[in-house]
Amino acid sequence: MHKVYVTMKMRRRQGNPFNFNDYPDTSMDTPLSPNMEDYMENISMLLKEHDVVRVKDIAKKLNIRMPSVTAALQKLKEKGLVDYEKYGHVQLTTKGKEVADSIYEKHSFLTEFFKEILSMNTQEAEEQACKLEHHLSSNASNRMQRFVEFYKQEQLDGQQWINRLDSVLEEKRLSELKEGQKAEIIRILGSGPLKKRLLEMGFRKGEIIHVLKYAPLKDPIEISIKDFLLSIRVEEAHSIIVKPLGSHD
Amino acid sequence: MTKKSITIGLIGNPNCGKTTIFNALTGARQKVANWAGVTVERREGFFHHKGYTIKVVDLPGAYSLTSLSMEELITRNFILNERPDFIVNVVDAGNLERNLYLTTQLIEIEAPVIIVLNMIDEAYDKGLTINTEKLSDLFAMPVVPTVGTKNIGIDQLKDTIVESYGKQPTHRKIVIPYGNDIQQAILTLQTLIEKNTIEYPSRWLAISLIEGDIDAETKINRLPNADEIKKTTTSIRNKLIAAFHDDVETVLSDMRYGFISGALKEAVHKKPVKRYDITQKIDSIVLNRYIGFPLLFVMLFILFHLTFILGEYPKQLIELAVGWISTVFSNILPSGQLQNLVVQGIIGGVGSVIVFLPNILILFLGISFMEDSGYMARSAFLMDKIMHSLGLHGKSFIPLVMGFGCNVPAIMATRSLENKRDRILTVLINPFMSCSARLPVYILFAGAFFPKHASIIILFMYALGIILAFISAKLFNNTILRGKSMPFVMELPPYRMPTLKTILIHMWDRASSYLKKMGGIILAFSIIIWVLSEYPKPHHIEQEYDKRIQHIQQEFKTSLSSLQKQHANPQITEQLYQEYATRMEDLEIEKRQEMIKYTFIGKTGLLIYPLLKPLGFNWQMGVSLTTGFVAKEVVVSTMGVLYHATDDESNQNLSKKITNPRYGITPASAIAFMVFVMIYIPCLATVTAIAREIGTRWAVFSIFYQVFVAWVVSFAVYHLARLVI
Repeated sequence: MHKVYVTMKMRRRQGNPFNFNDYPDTSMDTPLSPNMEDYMENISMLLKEHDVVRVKDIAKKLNIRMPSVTAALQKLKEKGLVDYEKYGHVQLTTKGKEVADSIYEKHSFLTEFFKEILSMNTQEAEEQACKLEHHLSSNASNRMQRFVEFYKQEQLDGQQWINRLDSVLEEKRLSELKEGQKAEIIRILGSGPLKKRLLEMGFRKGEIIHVLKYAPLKDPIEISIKDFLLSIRVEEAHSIIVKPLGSHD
Repeated sequence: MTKKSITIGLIGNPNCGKTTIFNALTGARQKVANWAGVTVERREGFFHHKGYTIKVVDLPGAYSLTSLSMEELITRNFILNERPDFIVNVVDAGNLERNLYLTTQLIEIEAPVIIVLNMIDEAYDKGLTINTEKLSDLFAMPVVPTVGTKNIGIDQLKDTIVESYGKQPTHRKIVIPYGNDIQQAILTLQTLIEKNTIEYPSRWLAISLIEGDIDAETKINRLPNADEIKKTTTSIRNKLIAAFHDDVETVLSDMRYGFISGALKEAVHKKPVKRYDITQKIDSIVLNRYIGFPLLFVMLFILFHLTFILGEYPKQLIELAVGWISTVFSNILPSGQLQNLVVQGIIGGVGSVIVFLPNILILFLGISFMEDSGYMARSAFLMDKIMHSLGLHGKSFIPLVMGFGCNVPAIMATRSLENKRDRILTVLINPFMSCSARLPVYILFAGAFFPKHASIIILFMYALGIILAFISAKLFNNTILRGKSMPFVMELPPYRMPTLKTILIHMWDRASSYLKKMGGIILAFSIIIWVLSEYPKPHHIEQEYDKRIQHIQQEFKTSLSSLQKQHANPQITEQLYQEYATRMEDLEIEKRQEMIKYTFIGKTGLLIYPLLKPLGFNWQMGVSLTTGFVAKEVVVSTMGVLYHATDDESNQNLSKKITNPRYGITPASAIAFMVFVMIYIPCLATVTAIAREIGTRWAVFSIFYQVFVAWVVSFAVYHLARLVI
């Protein structure tokens, strides 16, 4: 958000802050606040679903009071992005469409990045994309798009590293597991007495750990490994990297 | 006499039943001492078998032979330096993989090993069938299955020890296969090491060096080609790290486990059994989010109650017996110095030690039950978060709570803490737990000066102690005891029913070590303190006061007879009686005080008095504190003597006297005095216990620390209280 704010200030100093004719390329930085970007994005989405969009539709979708929406629309109209008359329908100008499309594009490839590459669930991916889309510079956004495309191509070609990446992304710290979860040991971080003690006790790669219980005060954790029970502090469990098996036993 | 004695070292993981095997082998023929230079227990015992005398040294429980902890280093140096005839390696048959890791290291250190497959019955219940012959063949060492608690297999173990003795090992020598790269590295280092004559196995040294073992490095340092060896070690380590993409310790331990699982695949057959896992069922109650803590407090309450409330009855019996013995000696011996020494010095001194015996017996009965059953580890699991925030260990909790009863057994109970730093810390803050001996002082002063708020004042004392303990723990943690704390990774052993034999042996052990080790020191100190409080004899003071008393008596008699002659008013006679009584009383108090002032202890009290003046104490308080070094109850009895309180209803009488304004004790100084008594040197027995458990230097430190804190806090409390009251 900070970055966007700075760019806007700089443009103001240049004298024509909202002159979009200077920026015909819609993939350029849009000098809109994240808030305004959200309006643009949502109006565009509503227009795809319905023929006509009214202030109350926008208010409902964004969960905002109508007067606020009206004020925002007024601003967007001043910038030449929206066609809007009082009590009338809301339409996007050609310029407005381009801006909205560019924001939506960022949103969709970010969602794809989180969902397909980082293997996150749809809801979380959407949420993260909504937050990040406003802060990505055009350069970063371009390069990221290239990356997503590259990844998809490699996936199509059946490259090995894709699978490795997938499994690495599943790794967690032992301290992140929930009661009842089972996990396979990947490696132990760090060095020193803790690591040595864990190695001696048989914390080898591939060994299965079962998280049995957290102490009533959430620390330490009771786990079972091989055929015995151990108590381990959360800070110590932090240095054990595991791969969870299934969700719950 | 032909040499027919064998020495064996008993080694094993914690919770593998090593102690039961030790007890089964040696019975009660045990002695406990410390390892040279460190306060880690060294337990020894012996037994006879087929004409041999076999000495058994019980080594501290260890997961490996690295030099990480004091215990591991002791075990390792025992094997390397004392060269026992056999190492009997006790392994938990139900938990073979992890237990045999230690065995692989024993192979490397080239110790002659006999494996004891203990708790073979539990392994069988788990569905494990172990082919002992195969295992013996794979590890190239005798294997004896046992059930220590039921005495099964013990005779076979004894036979095996005797049979293997003196016989050339028929088994081939085996090595743990590490693969070509590492094998090559080991050989390179081995050749370098073997250029010297060295008393340690060269392959073991080479492997230890590759693993980065610090103790092995110091062993190498003495060699002429030490620099060359070190340089080679570094380059080998770097090469191996590059080759395996992992650190060397991980690779080596992985290979050892690889060897073990390979062997187990051949020697152990596991059939799946449906098992009702009692341990997890109990844990789900004992460690439950809601029931866990209440249950822990109930357990503690029971333990505390048994130790200090139930223990009170035998304690009183012992006190009676001590009292009876001193009466007997008072009658036998002619009155005089000898009678005084025997009755007050020796019998009194020994009596003061022996009265704690019931408490110690019961507490250790409870603690060994908790330890052997597996609950102790659970209590540590529950409390660890809180204790850890103070830099302590979960297991510090129980000794601290026991301190409210008596610091002596509580300090002895810190033995369940494996780590030395944790133990020192727990011992050092233990005296802040207000023990029951301090209660009489609180009751006397709080009752006398704050009759309406006595219980709140007493509660404040306990709370202040706990707060000071926490502050001190934090302080020590960040200063003198700073340093890496050991990982908490603690095994939660399966619940087992402890055997009576183990518990009784454990209990007897503590009791006898208490009596032997503490008894001597305390007896000596009691005699010294008796001498200090009796000498030099203030004969001339006594005579002078006797004269004055006689004089007053004379005066009284004359005045009385003259009054009687005059047939005076009975009121005037009454007045005369009153006057006489007060004067006598005053004189008697003065006499006693002057007499005590003349003795060494009185002189010491007077000497330190200027230091105590800023706390609002009078000199009588100074003397009481000096005598209170023996035990805190003595503070009250000394005050009784100093203020000549009559023995019956002594407390009431005494409390009346100490509140008398002419002695200058104000409520503020009374509260400061209570605070001082709570904090300063706990008592002779506690100091001795600290010295026994963690060393004399710490005991001396503790004395100075406690006195210092006592002074500072009392000073603050005194001046605060003066503002408030």
